[in-house]
Amino acid sequence: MSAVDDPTDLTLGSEGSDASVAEAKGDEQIADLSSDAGDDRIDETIDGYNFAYLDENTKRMIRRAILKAVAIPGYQTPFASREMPMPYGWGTGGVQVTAACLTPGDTLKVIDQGADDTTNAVSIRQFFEKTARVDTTTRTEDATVIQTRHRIPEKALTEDQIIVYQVPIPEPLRYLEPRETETRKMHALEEYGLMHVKLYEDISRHGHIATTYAYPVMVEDRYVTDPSPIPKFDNPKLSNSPALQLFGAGREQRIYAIPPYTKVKSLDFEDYPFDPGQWPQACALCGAEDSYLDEIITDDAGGRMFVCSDTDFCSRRRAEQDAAATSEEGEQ
Amino acid sequence: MAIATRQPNDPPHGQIGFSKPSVDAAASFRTILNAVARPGSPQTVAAKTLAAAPLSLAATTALLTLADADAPVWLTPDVRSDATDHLIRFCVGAAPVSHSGQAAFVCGRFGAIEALELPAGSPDYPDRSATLIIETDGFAAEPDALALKLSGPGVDGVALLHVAGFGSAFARFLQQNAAQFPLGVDLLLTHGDQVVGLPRSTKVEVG
Ligand SMILES: [Zn+2]
Repeated sequence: MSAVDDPTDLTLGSEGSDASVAEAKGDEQIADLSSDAGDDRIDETIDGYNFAYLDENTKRMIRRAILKAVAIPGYQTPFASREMPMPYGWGTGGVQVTAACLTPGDTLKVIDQGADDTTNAVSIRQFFEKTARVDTTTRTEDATVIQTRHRIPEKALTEDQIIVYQVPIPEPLRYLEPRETETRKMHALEEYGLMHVKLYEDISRHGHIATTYAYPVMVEDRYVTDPSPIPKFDNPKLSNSPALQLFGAGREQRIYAIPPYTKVKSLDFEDYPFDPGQWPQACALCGAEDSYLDEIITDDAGGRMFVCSDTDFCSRRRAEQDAAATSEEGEQ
Repeated sequence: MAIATRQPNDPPHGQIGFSKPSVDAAASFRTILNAVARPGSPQTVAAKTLAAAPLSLAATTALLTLADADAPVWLTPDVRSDATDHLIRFCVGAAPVSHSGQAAFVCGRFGAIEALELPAGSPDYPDRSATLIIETDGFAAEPDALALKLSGPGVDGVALLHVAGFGSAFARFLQQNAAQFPLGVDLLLTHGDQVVGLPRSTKVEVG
């Protein structure tokens, strides 16, 4: 079997550190540049793969599902998920939605919990660099398509962007009702009382709604929808976004969408309004007071600090601060 | 317009279809996705195929991009021709269905579509509904064009859409469609190289 025919050649393994993945990426870019010499035409097949990996029948099927999902905001449209050269936990639903949307002119950003440099994010980026020859970036505003696992970038998205969420469990009613036929009926009849009961039980037990991730939302006053496991801190960004938001669940075979300028409301109660939460401290690295923070361990003695989860946002704030400090020094 | 013209020696209809099926379909899909995600805003399809006359380039492109053996097409009689037959059978790869109720895509003029029985989905599966590709006389703001005020998902406030060639019956059709939400059909309006999305989620007022 040749390397081209062997699907395992693209398999996103978990072996190897992020550093070795980054090194491999550098080598590949050099190889790509040389093979591109004298040929700026984008080929139908790239290194033996169909554009964006999936065959045309599959992409058409996914594209039709995406259009229906956009037409019925918040509704989970079934699709026939394909085997991808990566395990389910790696966002195969998001990868298939991204593959169906990408064009050769796109610039792709991939984040995992806000970070561009995890093995998962780097591997998905490399997958599309290889199969679709798209440009990639870590800069939020330079991306036309952003695939994400569990975060929305801090920088506000624009009309020229599509954000694709990786979704493990698309059904917000699943833990209340395991049967798919029943949850479909509940959505059809807008029977969302149980959902409110569950949230209210939280309040009576904890004094507040304890759900902090995958906090359910109501889309355009019709469908209760799972926003994927983003922190509830990100929920307000879902509403009235200029960007198109697409959600792909590979194992569960569902695609859903929040179109631009769509009303998205986090479920709550009059006497317990939705609270996105906040931190008592600022980012220990860049000083941001309005970003989502991760707690990181700094040493064996149990030292820890809170830093921005959005690595692009944080590193560029620090670069700006460094540049400002340098120019101040220069003036003195 | 940058549409390739047919040369005398070419086989009939030989230039209907994407020359690069993968990347041409990808670019065309993004245009259609933008149209559906931003109802009422005309989007321009790139000329990657010859139009299958009498269908517009935009309608031809939409069928090439989205229809296949699993998503059959029903054409209204007034837009059927040798060219559209070639498009559906050979380029799209779907036998034309004999009944509009079996079609994933219903394509033609509104006058021939409004009275049809159209799949509008079921309460459990509202996505199992037809998409209508309706040819219009254009989207210019001319005095005799139907002026529609659009709101709802994808529209920032209110959008104004002009559709030439239709009267108030079209507006009523859209309003009745939207009133069934989440059931309903989804529309792509086409003219020349332009496509406008009107999904069932769009609320319509005559403006
Ligand atoms: Zn920071």
